[in-house]
Amino acid sequence: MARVSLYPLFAAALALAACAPPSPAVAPIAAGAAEDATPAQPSIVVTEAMGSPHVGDAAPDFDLPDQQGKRVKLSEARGSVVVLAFVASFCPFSKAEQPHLAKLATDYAGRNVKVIAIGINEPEADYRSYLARIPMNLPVLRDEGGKVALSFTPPGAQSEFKDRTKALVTSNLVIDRDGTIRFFTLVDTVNFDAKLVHVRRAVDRLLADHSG
Amino acid sequence: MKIQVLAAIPLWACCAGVACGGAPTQAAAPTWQRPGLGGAVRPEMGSPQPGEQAPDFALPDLDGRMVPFASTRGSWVVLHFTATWCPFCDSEVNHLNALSAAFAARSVKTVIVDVEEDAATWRSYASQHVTPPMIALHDASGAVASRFAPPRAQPSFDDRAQAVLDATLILDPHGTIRLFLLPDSAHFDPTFRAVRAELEKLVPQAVVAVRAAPQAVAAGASADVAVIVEVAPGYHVMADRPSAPNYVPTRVEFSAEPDVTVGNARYPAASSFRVGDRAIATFEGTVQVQLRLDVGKDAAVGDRRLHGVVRYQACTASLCLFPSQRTFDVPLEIKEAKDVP
Repeated sequence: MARVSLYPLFAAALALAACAPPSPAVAPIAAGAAEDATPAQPSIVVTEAMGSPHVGDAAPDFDLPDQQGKRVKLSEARGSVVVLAFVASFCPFSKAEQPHLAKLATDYAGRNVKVIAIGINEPEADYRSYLARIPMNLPVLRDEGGKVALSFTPPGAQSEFKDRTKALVTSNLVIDRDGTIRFFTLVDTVNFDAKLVHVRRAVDRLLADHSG
Repeated sequence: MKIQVLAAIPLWACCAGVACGGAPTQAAAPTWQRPGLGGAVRPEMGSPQPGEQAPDFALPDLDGRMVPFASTRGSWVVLHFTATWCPFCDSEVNHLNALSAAFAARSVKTVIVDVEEDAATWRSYASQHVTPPMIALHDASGAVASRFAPPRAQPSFDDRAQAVLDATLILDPHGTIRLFLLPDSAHFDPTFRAVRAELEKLVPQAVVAVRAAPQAVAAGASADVAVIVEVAPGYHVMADRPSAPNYVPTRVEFSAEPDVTVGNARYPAASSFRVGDRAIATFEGTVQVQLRLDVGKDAAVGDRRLHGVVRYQACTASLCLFPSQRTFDVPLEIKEAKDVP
């Protein structure tokens, strides 16, 4: 009966595997793609899979002070399309979006669109430093303790975050005239939409629905 | 009938030539299309890129001592950029501690760099959340982080240092970037599973570790040096007198050193490892190799280092690794010759 000792062969076989460092062979994608490309679809949409609230649910109501101390209630905006942005002074994505959020408010003024920002739970001084960056022509609400942010946070949104009050940092929602969430995204760090192109599209769709 | 597959020349030698000599590589999927690597920097973002040298720098540690990054050369390095307010980073830090501890045994150094915060904030956070052997550094101005930021990564960020916040890099012992991941919020995994998987592939297992105690010898005197070779559990190395001509013997050798003579290594008795009906002479576990050190009577008094190397081929019951070697140093203090009448 033939008996083959494979021991030296293993040495040879392993030599093959051991010495080849993985080469970082990468195929370039289209030139300029990183520059200003807005992907066709926002990629982190809050859907039913993440739990409530999600697109299709009624937006939770809130009553929070703005930068002048004036109370703002979401339910009082019924009849208008509402853009709701969760912002934070510390977040570079939020910082990059900030001028585009102000521009959105300017561009849609007089079209029955209310743009509202909610400062994520952070110290008063940091909330003030967000306001100090550029003139904000929209209410920036102070959500001390993060209760409102939590009421908008579905369990599956960044479920790995230790601090749940921060799961919605740089999240954007579009709420229709009946108070139903029609657009809800979390920040996508790979396909970042600083110019709020997707938010604008969602607002435009709702405005077109109502005018039609 | 019995077939002995014993080549007259070392099998690994001929196969290694074939395997490493520019074998055609398959067109692999781009890194960012592989699971867990969606945040990988892309060529169009500009430098630095994988395959390029990482920028060099020096930054203060938690005690304010400047640490030159070049001091990590020779080791694989995991480099992570963080900020205490960053919720992604904060969810990851304990897992990075775990990674740091797990891969320290393979001589991987883990370095965490805090970006653009005041020293007190970072020190207070790091003292609670960053555990050794992770090295905690502070980039107060963001100047170092911004040099790591490829110019077209997060082009909407004016503050370039922030573009690499929460980024994780793997650097090889030459300081070349082998993996460069920016955060991917759509597939956020605080446990660094993908980074660990890359490390598993890139960093060889430390099958053999070597150590030797410092020696103090008077000029004209002798000493016995014990070189301890630790072979990882489940592995063995071929003995000093191997059972077949194509097996690589274990050898402990020292470089020539003026006025110091190192005698032949004395190896312990070999163990017998059975493969089929053959017994192979091997070493396992803790192997103590003795060498005699004779210091010449005219040797210069002072501190020096003896440079040693252990050459070996390690195997398990089912496979063998490529023949390898480990270098080690033995600090040697040569003292004044004893006054002998």
